[in-house]
Amino acid sequence: MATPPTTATDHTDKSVELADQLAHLLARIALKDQKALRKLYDTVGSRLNGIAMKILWDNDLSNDVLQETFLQIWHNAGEYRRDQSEPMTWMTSLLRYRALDKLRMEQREQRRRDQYEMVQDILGENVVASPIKGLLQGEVGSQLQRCLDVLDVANRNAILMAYYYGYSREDIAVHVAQPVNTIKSWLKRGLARLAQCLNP
Amino acid sequence: MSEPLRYQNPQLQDMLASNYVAGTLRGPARKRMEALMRANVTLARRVRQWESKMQPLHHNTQEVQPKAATWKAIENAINGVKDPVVASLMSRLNFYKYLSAFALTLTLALGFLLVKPGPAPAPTVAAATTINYVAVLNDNAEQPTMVVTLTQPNRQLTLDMLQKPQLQENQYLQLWAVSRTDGRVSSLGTLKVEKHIETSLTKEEWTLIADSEYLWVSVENQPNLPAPGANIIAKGLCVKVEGWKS
Repeated sequence: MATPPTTATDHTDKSVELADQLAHLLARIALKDQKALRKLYDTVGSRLNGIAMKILWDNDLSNDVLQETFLQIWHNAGEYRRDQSEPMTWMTSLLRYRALDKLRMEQREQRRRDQYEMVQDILGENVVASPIKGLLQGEVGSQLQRCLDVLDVANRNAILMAYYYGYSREDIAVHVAQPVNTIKSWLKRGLARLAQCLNP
Repeated sequence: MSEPLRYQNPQLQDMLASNYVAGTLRGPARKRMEALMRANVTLARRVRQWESKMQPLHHNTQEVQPKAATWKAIENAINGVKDPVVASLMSRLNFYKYLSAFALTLTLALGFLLVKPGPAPAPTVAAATTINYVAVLNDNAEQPTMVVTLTQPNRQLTLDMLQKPQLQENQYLQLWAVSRTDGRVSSLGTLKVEKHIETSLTKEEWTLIADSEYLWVSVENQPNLPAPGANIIAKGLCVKVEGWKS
């Protein structure tokens, strides 16, 4: 029997189901249930590690950050509030901020300025393989995707390089051969327009 | 102390929140923002809103399977068990400690048997060398593959290959030190593919060892490159050890 095609509603139902499951696990972790932590790790560990890898580009460092994040979840699960953010958003944020701290601590930023080819791919000179193009073509939340699509390309790339790949303003400046102040104004303008678009 | 009134301005709050979430506030600026968020509930809420807005960007991020050791480290940290990496390193170091003691005993015994009887020589005391740094390098499957020990008096580096890597013609092994201070990767030279290697380091190379967090071994297509390529075949923490004798 042919499998019926997946609809947007199915996708949303699954997302809600997963969010409920993760929130339930976080509640159990707040009561110091180690089995719940293991279940959470099995469910989202690979996904969080993938997000850390995009920022750190180093398997050892991303695993360090994943470990630190799960210890933070273990100690602070009681602080999680479902009415303020979805479980995956809360955990991703814990992880991203730790990854950004690690990036600074390891002073990887300086080293990354040498990775010229990778950045050319990100910026889309090699358009077919550009990760940013992939981000925009994928099933990114439609409202965010629409709003990113209408931004000026330079502003949009600066936002994505900073948010998704953890580039500092100085790193972006080096790679696009523009003064840091130009990058600051791209980011300022881009984020302001994104805010307007997302909250009309 | 109350926060400046300007932080009540919704536009400023939104700008700070979006920059914080985008990751462009770094170092002291991030810390200041985090202090402000603790004091200003509205600002903290704006940050949560921005996090939610940007989260869809991660929907298609490729998953990367964590290392097997990562869960063990989490579990051990929660249960107050010693860090498994350190525990495993110490157990391997103990192995090498006993192995080197055995080797020394064997050498002395052989020496005793081979020396011709004659007038009793003046007693000599073998000056035991103090090991200063040790690194057990694991391969990509997290199996120990090389052990590096470093001793101060003559800045000697000893490398034992537990498994010799298979190299093609015109491929070279190169040793690297990854700085604890700035993350820089510096060459410690090309290695011969031999079970046991001993070499003396220069003062500059010793300084790199003293500052290193990790040692790496890579396979390169040319000798003595200034920076490693992508083929890192072994990595390990470089640990300073006190009072060890070989």
